Amino acid sequence: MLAYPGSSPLHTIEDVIENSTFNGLLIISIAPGLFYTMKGSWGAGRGKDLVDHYYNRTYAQQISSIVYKIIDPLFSYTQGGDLNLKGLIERIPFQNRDSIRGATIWPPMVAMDKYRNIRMLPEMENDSIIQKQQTDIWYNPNPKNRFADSIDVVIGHYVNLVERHKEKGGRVAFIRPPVTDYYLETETRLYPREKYWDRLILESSCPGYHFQDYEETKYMIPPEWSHLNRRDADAYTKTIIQLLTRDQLQ
Amino acid sequence: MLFNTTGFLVFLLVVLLLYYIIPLSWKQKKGMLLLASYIFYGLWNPPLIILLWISTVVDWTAGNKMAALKDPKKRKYWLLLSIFVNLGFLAFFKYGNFLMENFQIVLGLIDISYTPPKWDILLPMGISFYTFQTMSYTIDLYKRRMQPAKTFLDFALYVTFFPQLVAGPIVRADELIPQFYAPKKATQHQFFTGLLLLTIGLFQKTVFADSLLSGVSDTVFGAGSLLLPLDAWVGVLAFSGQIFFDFAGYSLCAIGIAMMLGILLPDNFRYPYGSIGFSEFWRKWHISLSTWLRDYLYIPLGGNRNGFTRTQINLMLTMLLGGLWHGAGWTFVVWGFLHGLFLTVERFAKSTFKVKIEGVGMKLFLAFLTFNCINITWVFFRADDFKNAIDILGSMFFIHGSKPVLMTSHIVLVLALMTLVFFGHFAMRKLSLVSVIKSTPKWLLVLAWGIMMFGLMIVQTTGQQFIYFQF
Repeated sequence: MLAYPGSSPLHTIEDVIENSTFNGLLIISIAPGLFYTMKGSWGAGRGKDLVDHYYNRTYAQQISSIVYKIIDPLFSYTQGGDLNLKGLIERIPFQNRDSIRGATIWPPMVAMDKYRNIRMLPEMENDSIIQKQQTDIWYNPNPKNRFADSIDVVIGHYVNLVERHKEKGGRVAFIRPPVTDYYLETETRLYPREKYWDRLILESSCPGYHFQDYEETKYMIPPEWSHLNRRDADAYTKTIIQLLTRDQLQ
Repeated sequence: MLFNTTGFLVFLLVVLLLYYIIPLSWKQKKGMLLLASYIFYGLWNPPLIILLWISTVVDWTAGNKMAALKDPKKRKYWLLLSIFVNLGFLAFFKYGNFLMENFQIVLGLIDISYTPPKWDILLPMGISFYTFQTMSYTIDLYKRRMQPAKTFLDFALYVTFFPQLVAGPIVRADELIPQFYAPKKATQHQFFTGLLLLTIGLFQKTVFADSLLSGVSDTVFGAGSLLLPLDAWVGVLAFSGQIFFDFAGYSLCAIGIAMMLGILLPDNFRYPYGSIGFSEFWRKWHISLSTWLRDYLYIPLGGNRNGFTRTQINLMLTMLLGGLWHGAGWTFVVWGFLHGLFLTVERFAKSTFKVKIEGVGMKLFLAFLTFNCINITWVFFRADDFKNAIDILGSMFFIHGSKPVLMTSHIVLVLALMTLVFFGHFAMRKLSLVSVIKSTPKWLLVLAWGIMMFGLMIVQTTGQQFIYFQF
């Protein structure tokens, strides 16, 4: 996973295509609420900050990053969840004034390893209270400036990026992993498949693997509606690999 | 390099190993410290080390010439060269765009249209600090207040000593250079006190300034509209705390690291927010800058030797330039002006009303008044422009917005923390941190140390830059 969790992959995709020599298969997973946001949006801005930071890092920051990667796994509280001091303080249940939205308290959901592979934490898989904390967030999404550009602009931009990657000899495949319940209902309402997914696949001329199209994936149930548990994640990955192999993209 | 990064901790560990474990001569150790200092600075932006080198070579040469020459005219030329080079760096790198913008405005006033090119100038980290430090060396030599450094290595290390290179304290040559003449080794007590000061400094910076306060002040100053008075005051208080913990934290780190090497640096902050009056505040806030400005600007201008009016003019000029030292913008000049104004009013009041300040209640009231006046000045220091400053001041006093911007938890946190800071500073007015450490029972010290270490570990910030690096 190259994109920053909870942000648009736009700037990461741009960086991989425009600034790297990578010309292999780019698998782009689409969470519509993040994917179809563009440059002016908060979600994309976060990704841009991180890409810019990577290129503008001082030597001192590069050294710190190397050292931090070594010591980071030693601290259990950095592994999933929002357990930093500021986050802990914001959890203190004070009544806010009208129009003030409290900080979103993210329960521990996934752990990311040094290769940026993520796996769901056992707590999220098994604890219904934690699952409810997460589904409550999905019930009340923070819409921070998500829709800064029209769908024509967004899809047009991605199609251009795909073309550039293909010119380098690369290939692109889009996937939509399983989501369920209210999350899926909201997604279907805000981003109807025919207007977004189907159009993206058609205009980009790339293969697309939507979870609803396959028997192996359409019945998978994410514990908190949007991320697969470890067992299903493995099964889903195997299915995607089989599909990519079948279509000779592997 | 930033003290609040993991990379720096590795760097410091290597320096301490080389300093204490590897059998090097004192000269070799000083060479190692100099090299480490250049690496410390160069890891941010290597080419800018050249500026340090130029400053070092020019001031070393000028200092030696002034010490050797008898002809006052020639001595003055060498002093002017040193000042020209150092202030020239500052003028170009720090004030280049500011000067051009104001030049454009002045031309506009006489109907001449001119659009200067926007220079993409990178401000070298800590340039204001090391230029002032080296200028103090040449000025002191010109005034024959001290002898030149014995060796180039001692002088180069004085200019570049990494603990205080980028954000002070601005150490006078006669305080630091003589310490390099004889081998230095921290006693066990010094080493652990230094380590404790480093921990306290990092705790102040990362936990208080970055994690708890910066977000609140950023929200308020970035709101872009009028605010409710509560939000505006809390935002200003948050910045007041942020700038103190950020800068005092850096100074403590610097003093602590130097102490771990057996080298003593002067205090830079002494509980300033408990001050009664602005004169006391400036004896406690950024002491190394205020004494520099006093000795190399205020006194040469005439100080208080030429009557009340002239004294106030000298004071105001010093504060205006002090404001400009902090940043290339008119908001910083206004900040300096307000401090000059408060100092003038205070002096006038002291000379007119001969009231003895007695009793804790009265002292507390005056300290609280001073603290709030200081908070008002911070508005101009923090604001991006005058509109921003006026919006915040308006929200604090006169015109109020209607939409809250801060969460209740943030308001409670800032008010609680800054109340503690105010009363804590007031209670510690006559004390120094090192003396408090000395008198604290060991078990309590270890407990506090443990809490701070835990705070540093769970804070999880990303090594934010110290505010004063930009000055």
